[in-house]
Amino acid sequence: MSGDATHAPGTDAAQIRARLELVVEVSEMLARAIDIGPALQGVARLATGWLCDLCAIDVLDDEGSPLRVALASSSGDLSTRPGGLWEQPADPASDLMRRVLEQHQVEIAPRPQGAADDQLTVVLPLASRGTVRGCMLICRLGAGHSFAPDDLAVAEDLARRVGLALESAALFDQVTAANRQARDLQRITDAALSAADLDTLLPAVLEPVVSVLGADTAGLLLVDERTEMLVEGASTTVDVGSREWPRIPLGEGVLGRIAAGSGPVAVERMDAAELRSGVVAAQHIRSLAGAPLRVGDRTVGVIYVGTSGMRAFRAAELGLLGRVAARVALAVAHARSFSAEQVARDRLTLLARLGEVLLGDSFDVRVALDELVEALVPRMADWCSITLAGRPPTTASAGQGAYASRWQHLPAELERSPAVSGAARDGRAYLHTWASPADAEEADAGPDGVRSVMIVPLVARAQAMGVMTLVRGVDSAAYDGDDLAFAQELAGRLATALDTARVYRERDAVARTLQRSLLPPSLPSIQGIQMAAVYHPAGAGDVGGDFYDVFEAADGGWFLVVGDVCGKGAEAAALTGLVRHSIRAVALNERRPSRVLKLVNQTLMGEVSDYRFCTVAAARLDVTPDGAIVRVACAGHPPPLVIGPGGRIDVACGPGTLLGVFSDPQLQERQATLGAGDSLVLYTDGVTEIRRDGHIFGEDRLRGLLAESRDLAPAMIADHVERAVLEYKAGAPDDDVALLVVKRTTHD
Amino acid sequence: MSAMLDLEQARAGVEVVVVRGEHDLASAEELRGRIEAASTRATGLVVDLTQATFIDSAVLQVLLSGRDRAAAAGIAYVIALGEGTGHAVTRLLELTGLDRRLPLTQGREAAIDAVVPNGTRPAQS
Repeated sequence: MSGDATHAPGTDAAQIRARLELVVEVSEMLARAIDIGPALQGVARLATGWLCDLCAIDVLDDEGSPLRVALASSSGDLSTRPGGLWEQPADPASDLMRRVLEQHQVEIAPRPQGAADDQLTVVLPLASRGTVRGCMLICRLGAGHSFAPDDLAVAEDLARRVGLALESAALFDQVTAANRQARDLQRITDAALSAADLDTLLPAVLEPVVSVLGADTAGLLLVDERTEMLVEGASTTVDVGSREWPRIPLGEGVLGRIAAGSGPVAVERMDAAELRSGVVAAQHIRSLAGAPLRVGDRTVGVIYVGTSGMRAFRAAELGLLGRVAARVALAVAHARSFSAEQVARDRLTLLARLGEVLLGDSFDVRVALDELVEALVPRMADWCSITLAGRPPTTASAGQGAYASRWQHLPAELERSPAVSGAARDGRAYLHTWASPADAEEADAGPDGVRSVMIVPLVARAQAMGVMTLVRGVDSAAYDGDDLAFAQELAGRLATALDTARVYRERDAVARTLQRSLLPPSLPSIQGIQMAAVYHPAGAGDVGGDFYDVFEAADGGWFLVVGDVCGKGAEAAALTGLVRHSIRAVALNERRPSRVLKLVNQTLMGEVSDYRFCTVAAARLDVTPDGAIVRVACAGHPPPLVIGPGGRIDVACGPGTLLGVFSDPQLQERQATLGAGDSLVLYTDGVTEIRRDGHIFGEDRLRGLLAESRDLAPAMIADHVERAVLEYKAGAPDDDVALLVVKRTTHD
Repeated sequence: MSAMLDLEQARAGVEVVVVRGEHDLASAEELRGRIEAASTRATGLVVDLTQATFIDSAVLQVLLSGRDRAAAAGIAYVIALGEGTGHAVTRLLELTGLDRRLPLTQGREAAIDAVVPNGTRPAQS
């Protein structure tokens, strides 16, 4: 070790200690360092104090280019530094640097031209584990000064430590970068998973992608599985909601090609064609990186980021984009199956709602239509209407938000639109979608903001009953074939239900008409007699099997009849009509009620099948100055009752055989006289056989009611019984009820 | 309120259709089915009304048709009434005159005895 080194301490021992101190200090400095840059600057400063007059440290970046990260001078005045290597980071292309960097050699730099004679520069590789991460330059100034071997050994030791520190720092950076990337990926994954449907998923994913990759815009296009085209999507800079993306076939255009590929791709300079129109141009993208969205071997779309300036995406960024794509693809597939499921669920819900509305206890067409159109918005339509043919037509409509009033007169406008004109009349289902306003010429646009419309006839038994119109606005998705099929299903069910309701209504009308024909339109007025009748058919729309009749015989006497035919409906009505008219016919020439019933039985024997029998109570009434004489016969029927003086109740006749089954009915006949204020009450078993909780209304209860109302007018007596009957049943009786009260007035 | 129909095999060849509780139009068709099915298998058929509390005219129709069906099939047919038979049942049979037209017996056992063919009737009854 020469003793003439400018800064060398005077003694060997001191020198050794000084070198040790340097090495220890450098080690500590590097070990403490959180950030390698300032630490390297500190190392350079220490070295210039102990080892050299100038120290520079160059570190290779990711691309292998040296960056000057530290520079120190013992004089503190860097302006006096010599030229050459000190001006710039070392040129890795020079022979000197190649030897240092590739062969890990320590090199003495040749004296550059014009440099001072007294300058000596040594270049040491900063390496660890066989990898060179940069170089350290040390320089002594002053004539005749050189590095002693021990100085060089210390310098090499320092270089190794710096090399190790650089390796640690690089590892740390990698870990940090990996962590950051993992965080970024997690952000994107979280965004993807937090959104259940595509509309919220896509923007949620794209925002973090833009920030993670430091791009200006990010976008995503999805493949329509049927057409194999990129059709829908989202972008951070273009409003997708109001704008239809052009369809891009897989493999065509830059995005189509990336989508059809297998991994991430960077396109530093876009084709001129791409810059003129389409998605890329719309977002002003000059440089782009994209990756296909793939689930298994299926391509579901493409994701991309773009910059408005030129940019070369690095391999690490493409790798990240690839990993993002993998996660987004899964999320998209998930969201798609979710939305498919959602659609299916929505449709099931709608069908169920339709069922509720149509099968409700009281089916009111007006109410049903109102409920249906409400249920269809917004799941199936932004606005919809159902119109039933008729004079006047019945229409119900519902719309989402402003559409409710805005499209009130839409059907008329659609009628003027050439695309669907006449659809409401020709019995076929129509689906028409107009071009989006962005792409459309004025003439092609739908009427008043309509995007897509379905016009579906309501047809039951090959008869058109009306039309259902479903409309979506320009901001909603167009209808597809699935939607149309579903709308037809709905319309079919609705039409069938409406048809059934109509049949029921018609049947009701027929039943009421028939019922009227089976009952006397009004009770006759008979001198000295007051009468009242109560009649309740069991169910609305059904013709009851009970009947009553009061008519005058040819000889001036009167017949009072109450009867009950098995069953309900048209067949029962036919039999009721037969019985009633047979009695009238037979009674023309026959005074005795038991004979009348016997003859009616003969008629029925030839007409009635299936043990469909009939029970009748018939009375012949003759009003004389002495009183009213009644002759009563019963055929399988509850016997008429007489309300006598003091409320005494008497049975007016004994039992007899029902009619229509046996050719030899046994029929009795009994005669009674109604004094002033007495009543004869004929009734059907609908009065007495009402059941509630295992109990029966019963004859005794009826007798009691009659007894206590003896002094009332017949209408009041009938009303008294009717009230009790309805109250006992607490609702409509489930059997027909007929009651006829005939009272001998107290004065005449 | 119990409304049940049961089919029991009383003795060889004898089937008993047990009518419990209240029966009307709602269960008449089921009763008809039971009677018709039994008519194809049995040599004797009992309709047990000893636990019937209410029947209406629809059930009467079935009882009438059962009688004729059994006659056509050549099997014995008896309707059993008893103390448990509801007043509404006996009253209806009385009012319609069917108490004199349908083959009624008092008691289930008597009904079964009545439909057992002579050869297989127990010596002591």
